[in-house]
Amino acid sequence: MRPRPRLPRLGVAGWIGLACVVLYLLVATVGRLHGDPVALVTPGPEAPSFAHPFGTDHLGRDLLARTAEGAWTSLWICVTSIGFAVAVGMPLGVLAGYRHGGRLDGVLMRSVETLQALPQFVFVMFLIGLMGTADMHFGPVTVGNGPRVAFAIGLGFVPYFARVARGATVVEMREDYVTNLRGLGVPTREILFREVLVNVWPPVLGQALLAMAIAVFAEGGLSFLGLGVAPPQATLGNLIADAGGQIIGGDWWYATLPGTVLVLGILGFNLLGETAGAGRPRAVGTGPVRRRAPEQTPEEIPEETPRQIPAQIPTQIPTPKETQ
Amino acid sequence: MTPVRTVGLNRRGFLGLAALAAAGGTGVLTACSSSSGSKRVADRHRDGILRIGVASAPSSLNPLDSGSEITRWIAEPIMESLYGYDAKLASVPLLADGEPQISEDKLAWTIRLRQGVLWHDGSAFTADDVVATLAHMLDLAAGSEWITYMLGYLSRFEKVDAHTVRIVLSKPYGLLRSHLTNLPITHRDFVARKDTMMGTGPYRLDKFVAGQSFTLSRFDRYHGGQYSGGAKPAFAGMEYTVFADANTRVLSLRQGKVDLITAPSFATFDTIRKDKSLALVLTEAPLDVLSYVMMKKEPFADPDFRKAVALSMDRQGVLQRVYGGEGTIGQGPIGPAELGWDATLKPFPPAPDPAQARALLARAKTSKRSFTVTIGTNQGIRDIAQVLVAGWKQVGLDVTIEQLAGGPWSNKWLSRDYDMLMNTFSSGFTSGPANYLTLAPAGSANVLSCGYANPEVDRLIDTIWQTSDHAERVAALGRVDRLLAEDAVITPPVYPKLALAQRTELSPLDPTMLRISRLDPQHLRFV
Repeated sequence: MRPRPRLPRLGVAGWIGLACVVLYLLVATVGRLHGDPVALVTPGPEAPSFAHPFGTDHLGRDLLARTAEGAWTSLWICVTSIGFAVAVGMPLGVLAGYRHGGRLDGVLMRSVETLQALPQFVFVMFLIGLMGTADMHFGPVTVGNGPRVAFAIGLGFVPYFARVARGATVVEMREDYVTNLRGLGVPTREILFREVLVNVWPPVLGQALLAMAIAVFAEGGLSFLGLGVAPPQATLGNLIADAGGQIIGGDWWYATLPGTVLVLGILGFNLLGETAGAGRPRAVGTGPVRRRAPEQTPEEIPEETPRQIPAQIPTQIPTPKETQ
Repeated sequence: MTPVRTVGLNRRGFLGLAALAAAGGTGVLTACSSSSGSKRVADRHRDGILRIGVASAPSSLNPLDSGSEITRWIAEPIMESLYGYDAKLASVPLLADGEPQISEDKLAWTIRLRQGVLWHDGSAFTADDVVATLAHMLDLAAGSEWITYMLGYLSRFEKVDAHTVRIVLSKPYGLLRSHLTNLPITHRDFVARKDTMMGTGPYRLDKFVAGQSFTLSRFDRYHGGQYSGGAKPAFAGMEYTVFADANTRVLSLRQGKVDLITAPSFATFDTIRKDKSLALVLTEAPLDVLSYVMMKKEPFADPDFRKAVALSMDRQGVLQRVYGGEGTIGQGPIGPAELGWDATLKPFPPAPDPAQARALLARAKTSKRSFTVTIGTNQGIRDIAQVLVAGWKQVGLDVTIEQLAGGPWSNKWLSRDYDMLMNTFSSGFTSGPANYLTLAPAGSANVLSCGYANPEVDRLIDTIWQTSDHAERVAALGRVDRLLAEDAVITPPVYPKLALAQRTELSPLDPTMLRISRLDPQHLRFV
């Protein structure tokens, strides 16, 4: 009998996080349908109304449309930067973990620690300072500040993913199934990328969601400082920065509403990341078709529960190295 | 198994506490900010210190390098020029001892210097200091902004005796008197220093915290040249504090922490007007929105494209949305507070004219419909650019905004590698009640040339620079203004007013001095 589909067990925090992210995406989507974020629609700042649910900004632009554009811009920069960080950091970490204790591990980890020596936000500002905020022209291609901000944030996150991936890889490499796969003569590349990587993913994914929250915050901070995306494109950071000058005039909506959306994004990704990092079950190497471990949360798994090992792989097979 | 209770603050708890703290903190700050500052001001004024809140701090303290108000507002009570402005903005001797002796061919100016003047380090002011100042200004490696005024005109300068200098010109230079009235003279050992100011003024710089504050004290051995009838500086000292955020500046003024602030944003005007202990000062001053297009390349090489861009500028939008209506609709490079202003010059409508702009674009030879406008980093110019971009979008122009800090922005200007350049600039400290620098790039041979070549404009600019006849200069300025506007070469969207705010316990700022961008704090007093 096929099991009934079940909702994932997120816990209260996870559900709150999911709700926040959904709300964030909802504002980002609905707002984009609401109007042109650059058009000047009122003579000056106006409080929220039916026509402009988030009000208008100091130049008379629809704030819902601009918040939506800002949310998408922030999301795009964050996804790109975290994607870049995972793409670079994870292979480095897996490689270092595989060579645990060796020279390559030492070189990679010391390099990563050098990057980590600077506080992350300072490091990102340093990178942007080096690259400048002006558009870069490579022949016919013009690279604006957005991709460079994503690159800088992403590079700042590489060490974190490399370390998480390395730690997880070191643990996995000590597992019996790896020993057994080696004994069966499975190539190292296949062990690493088809078996070990599956179990390295969960902590990396959890870290990625947590990093998303930090990236949303970092992008907002950079834009607030004028180091982010150039106007008139909105980001949540530069919306809040612009709103700062209007607070004394009583324009409460200007900072509050984009700020709330920013908080939703940060809180949502943070809670989801925490849930994912804490509750994601391990997968156990099962060959080309990856089979997940039984749907048990860590709380349900009793201590000392032996990991599931495919029945067809005999245990206690000496590694090729030992036979030589 | 017994569950282990975690003690301490986890991530979730921290987030919750942070949210509560943020909400509570905001409330506390709001409550504090509403307290009256009158008693605080009365108590504070006992120390005799004038406190000024400024928007930003200069990266270099050398007033010879920059005519920017950011540097010069701090330098005003510290540095002095050979000539100063009287109450009617006429140039009168200050560090000079009388009018210059000008040779018949107008190529040699001999200037006697006032004796008995001391620098703030106690050394005597001599001709060596003037020579060192002029030499620094003309040193290409020094990077002084003044070099653009002097290059090609100053031939040499020499010390005649300890208190006389002679300036020899390569051609007549009527503007020299204006420059000598605005150029601060610096101690010979300090001309290249960027970390301090050494002047002869009534106040001296005691200390500063980079980017934050500047502390001045009264110079008791001041020669007295700026004061008549035995008057003396009223304050024991002055303190300039940087409040980068406009709201914080206004709140500090309301709370009585400072007596005077620069650049309140128009969003705060109502708040200032409602407070009876504050006064909002709005005045016409030589405050320019620099606006240049590069005519050596597409698309601005095409006159129809240029005019279409100028016609589709939302000037009214900029004036209302960015300056709250406080200013004048822009046309040519010369504004209402500057010599040569022509109120009848109106080639462009206040609101964009999309129909005519589209017709011009259809007629234009260039097929390009996009360009980049390179702006500075201050909020005002960023807002101006955004309003203009919205207007240009209506006629199908795709405009990218590029923001650059001061140095890179100037490099772009010098390298001539731009489509359109915009920034704000106060010319009062370099040109007094005029703006000569704005016109310079229209000259075909100028180092900042924007690629425009019009023999009549070149000739008129030469006249403006060279003539000693005030009426002739004003007429030439007016003509150049018209030509540059009608040819859509320099078309600023607005001429904004200079905005300041002060406490009423301080004597009112002098409107005459404000017309040349001066705060003139050394002549204020507590009332």
